[in-house]
Amino acid sequence: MSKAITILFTLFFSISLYASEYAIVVDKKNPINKISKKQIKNIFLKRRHFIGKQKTIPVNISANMPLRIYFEKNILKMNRERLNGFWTKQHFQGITPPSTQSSNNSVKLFIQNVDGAIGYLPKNLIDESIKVLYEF
Amino acid sequence: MRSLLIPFFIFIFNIHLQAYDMGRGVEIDEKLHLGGYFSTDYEVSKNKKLFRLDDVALMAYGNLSDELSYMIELEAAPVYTYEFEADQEHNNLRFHKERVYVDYKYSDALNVRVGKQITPIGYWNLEPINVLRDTSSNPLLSNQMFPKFVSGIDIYGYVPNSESLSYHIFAQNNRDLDEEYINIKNKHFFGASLENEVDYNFQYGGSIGEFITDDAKRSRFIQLNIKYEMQAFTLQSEAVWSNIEDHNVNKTDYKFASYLQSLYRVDTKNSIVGRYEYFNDDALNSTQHIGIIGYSYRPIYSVSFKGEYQLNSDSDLNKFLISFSVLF
Repeated sequence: MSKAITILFTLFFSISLYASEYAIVVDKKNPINKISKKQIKNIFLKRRHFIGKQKTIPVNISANMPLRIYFEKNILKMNRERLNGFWTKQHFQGITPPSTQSSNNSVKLFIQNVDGAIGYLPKNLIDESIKVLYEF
Repeated sequence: MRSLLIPFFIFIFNIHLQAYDMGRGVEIDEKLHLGGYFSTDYEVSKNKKLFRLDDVALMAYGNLSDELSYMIELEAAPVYTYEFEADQEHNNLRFHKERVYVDYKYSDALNVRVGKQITPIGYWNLEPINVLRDTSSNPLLSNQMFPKFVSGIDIYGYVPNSESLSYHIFAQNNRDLDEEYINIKNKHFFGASLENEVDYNFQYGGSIGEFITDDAKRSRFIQLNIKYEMQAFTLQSEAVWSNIEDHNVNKTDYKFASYLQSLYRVDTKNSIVGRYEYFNDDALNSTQHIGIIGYSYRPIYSVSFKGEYQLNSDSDLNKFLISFSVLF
């Protein structure tokens, strides 16, 4: 019996641990319906600007926010030093990083108001005005 | 003029000081982003001992619309040179056009760049300034094998239906927009390149091209490049083979240049770099083997202190180099 309970608890905590808390989102009117992790990375590093025929405008949350750090670690797979080096090189090429918003709510407003905007939000802020493309 | 410029720069920097991020330039607005770089170096070899403020450059770029952007880069080089043995100084504050182009972004698969631009070949040529490099010196491959700049058109983008394969097709059929700093003067330069970024740690590619120099030598070249990152190590290699037809004497020669560079990141600020270069010029009957060991310290990425020792198969060319460079 105790073995079964242990297995049950292990399963429960494993599921909780890996349940995604955040999502890559666009406005509900945006025609994009799915996106791969590589596409997300390319868009937020400004290597690609379109998904299909839809132009994309990435938006970040402020650099010191935990969600930004989580996004960089899990989606971009780059630490802050490497990203700083990357954007320094891009400055020489005439390319600037994505625009930044100071809070999750302002990211959400940006996505709702700017055509083609794409960002990331905690799942508890997502409502019917926003479309989820990828969870992480 | 100076009395106007100084208050202007103080004004700009006061406005943006709080938002300024070193190595990212100053954004006035979406249409105007300002930046620049400089580098200094000190070189000691058997026949030479000199200090240089090697280059000073100013950049302006921005987005004129969703599709249209531009880049202007003006550079003076070398700005100041002091030769210790001869006790001579040289000054040069004449700025020349290093890059002047506009970009039209139609889609990820089709973009057009028109104007004077860096030739889109390999790795080294695309990051040509001291602060972005891992060594103070450049391999011979970077200035002996093809023109560093194209004054013309480049059509580029990602190959349709590919996630990782990108292409460039470039052409020049006129003189360079500003020939002061071009390594090979020409008025005919065509080429194409392909780059496959398998992932961010592994990339490879190649190019082909043709150019005719002012002394009527037609060069056709093929180039290959590969880069692999594994934790703290980065391995990078490029090779160019060139066939040169000299119509003046009806003779064909070849040139070959390659390098293999290994970088070990001790931590986020300190790196050790080693490079081996091979260069062969059939026309001059000359072969060089060059070995380099260097050290790089970056307190932040856009500020670089570097030192290196070069061991050349011609021992008269052995040299010691240190440099300090900043991108702002």
